[in-house]
Amino acid sequence: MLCWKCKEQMQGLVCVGCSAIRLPPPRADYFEVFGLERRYFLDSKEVQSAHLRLAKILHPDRWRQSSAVERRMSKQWMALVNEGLRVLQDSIQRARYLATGSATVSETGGKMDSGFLETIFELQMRAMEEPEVVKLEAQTMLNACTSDLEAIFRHWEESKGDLSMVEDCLGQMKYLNNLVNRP
Amino acid sequence: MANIGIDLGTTHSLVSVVLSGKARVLLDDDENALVPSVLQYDNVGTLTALGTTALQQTGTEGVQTFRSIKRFMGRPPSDVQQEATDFGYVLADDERVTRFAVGDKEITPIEMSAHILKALASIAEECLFAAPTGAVITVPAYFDDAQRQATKDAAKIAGLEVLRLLNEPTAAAIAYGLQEGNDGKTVAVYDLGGGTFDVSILKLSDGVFQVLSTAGDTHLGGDDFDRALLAVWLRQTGIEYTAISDIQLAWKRAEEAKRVLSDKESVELSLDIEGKPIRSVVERSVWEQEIQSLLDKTGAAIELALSDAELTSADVDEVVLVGGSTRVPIVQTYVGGLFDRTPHSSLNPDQVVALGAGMQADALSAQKSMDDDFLLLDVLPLSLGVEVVGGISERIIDRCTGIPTTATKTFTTHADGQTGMKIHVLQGEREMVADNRSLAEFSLKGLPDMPAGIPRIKITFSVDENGMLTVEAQEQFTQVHASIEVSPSHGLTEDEIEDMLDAAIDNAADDVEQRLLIEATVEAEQVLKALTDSLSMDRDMATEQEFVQMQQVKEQLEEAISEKQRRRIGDLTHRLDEVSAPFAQRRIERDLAIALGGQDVDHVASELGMQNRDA
Repeated sequence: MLCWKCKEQMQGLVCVGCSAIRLPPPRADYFEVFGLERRYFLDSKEVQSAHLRLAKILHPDRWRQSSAVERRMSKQWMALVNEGLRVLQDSIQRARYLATGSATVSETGGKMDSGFLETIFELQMRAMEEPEVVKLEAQTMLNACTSDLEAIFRHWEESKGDLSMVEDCLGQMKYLNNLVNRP
Repeated sequence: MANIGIDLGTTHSLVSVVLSGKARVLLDDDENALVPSVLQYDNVGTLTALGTTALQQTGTEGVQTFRSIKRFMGRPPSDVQQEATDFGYVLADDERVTRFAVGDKEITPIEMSAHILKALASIAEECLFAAPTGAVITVPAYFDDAQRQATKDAAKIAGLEVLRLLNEPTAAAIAYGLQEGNDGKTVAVYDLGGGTFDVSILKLSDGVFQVLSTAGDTHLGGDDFDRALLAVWLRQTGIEYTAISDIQLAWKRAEEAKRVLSDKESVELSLDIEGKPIRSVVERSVWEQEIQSLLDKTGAAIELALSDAELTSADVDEVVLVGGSTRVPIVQTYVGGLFDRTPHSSLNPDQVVALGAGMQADALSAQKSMDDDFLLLDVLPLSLGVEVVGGISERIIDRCTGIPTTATKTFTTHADGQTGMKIHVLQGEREMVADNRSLAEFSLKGLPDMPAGIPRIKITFSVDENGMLTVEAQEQFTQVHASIEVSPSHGLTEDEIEDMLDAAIDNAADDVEQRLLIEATVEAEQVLKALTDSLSMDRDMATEQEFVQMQQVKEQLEEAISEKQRRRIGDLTHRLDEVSAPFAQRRIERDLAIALGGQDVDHVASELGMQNRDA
């Protein structure tokens, strides 16, 4: 990649030739930015130390004396790095990000299986009378979903298996989570 | 030129600077580091004293004293009415911005804070023989966007460039953390000041101060301890609060009595009731019982901060006490008990925040090379969201998210052919809109004419490193960067700040009054014209009663305009808006029905979430 300022070849986040900040990418891959392997099973400590390493270089305070353009770029970079930390540290967001390329729920995604929705509806009805029992049942189902999810990702990491079921799985977990955390 | 650090506190304020590599608090002419955040006005509303003098002269005949004004910063009048009464202040008649009636004038807490900032800047100027260039000003970590904006506005009016709004517990951590041997530690900062409480959990690693979480209460502090002491006294003497001759003097005496209780088991408090002194002895243990519920509130905030940081109290290596109110023995015992360790208080709790601010100001100064500086990574204290159908607040950015940050959400229209949209920006953790703080309402105009649900309006929230929000919107199909009007719900407008800036420079209050009158008149005339036009077209859509009422208010308003009564013009413009609302609503519904080709008006109205007043 060429430096936007001095047009020389550049690697890393800061140009060796002219000390310019790298152009923030319009659509960044968080794993790539953080220098981590594309994996679901991540060490949270590694994510945090990568975040700190990036923050030390890219934080706007480090670019106070630079031009307005570069100050704005550093702000964009830092927002991206903070967003990356949020996504990579949260197992749900990380799963969705790996499966769909976005950490937020897409409009088309999350079509629920009608059988599952019926089960949820029935649980919701019963939750009025026996909340504790329903909470336990929902927790059991949630645990099953979580291990399904982990199995999908284990398979994917070992032999590049398919991630198309991840969104459905996450959708179900959301419903079950609501039941478990009912006030 | 040097950058300064300012601790703009509820009860007192300080200024600091780094000289030869060491942060120091600067002293005023009388060698005091603490400038009491107290202002004194005469009975025509002219500032006559500030700081120590104003504090000492509390209770003098013919003057009005203002203290604890930080509690009023960035808050709407409806939120602070009770508090104003407690402090003996009179609020001016204004629903949007909090203003105090002082003599013939109306003065905002923002202008009062600007006076304090100016006084601090001049202390710095005398010590450094040059005017300071920029300032780091500390704010409670739990300050919301409106409160931060108010602080920034105060600095602007005082003519100071704000390098950073720094969270107070973070400032304290900087002051402590730069001492040796704290690398890799997790620190909890318990900051109980005169009027605000914050707790922050930080991780210190290799020159980086990373805030993991923060929680607090912007209306909890030493003032409330004083109030509790007054409450005990009133209960013991059976006297009503309203019978106290001089409320300001009573607060001052209660504060002094509280200090005595830090060393002694009891204190005699004497207050003037109808001119006669009444005495009663307050036992420390009774007072401690009275403040237990306040301590429990701080305990709940600590729990929240720990859970947001995904830590337990055992994971915390150091506990730091900050703020004058942590001198109270029971506070120290309480915090020590929660964390099961003796809290640190080796630095002066009154000065530690200012020292940290000075260090940050130095780190941000232009002459320094950035490699040897420490770096601060802070978080957003309260979640940000927008209002959605049903009066629900939908979160866009969660609290404790690292800043700077951006987040985007896509919205759509509710009615066919809808070309405008109101976006209500909220801050807070509650589900219902009404329970959160209203930050601003944005009107989005010029949307493409499309069926309901088709336009895709992308709203982007950006929070900068000061924790302050800006919002942008774009319609996705047409790529129209739709215009946005920002109207801060309860803050000062750009014009108002400009006015205050002018007034501060020219000291010509009449000018400001003149401009405000012109603005009010212009607005009133617009409202009048709109109403006249619609009545001439649709006279039959107003009931007879409505018509008479509208005519009445209209005439009153025209009279107020010709007599140049600004406040009355404002009030009546508002009133006219109110009385003509049902008529205006009916016209909108009619126009909508026509636009939709004869669809049932009730149906459309309910789709829009509107109430049909005739139904």
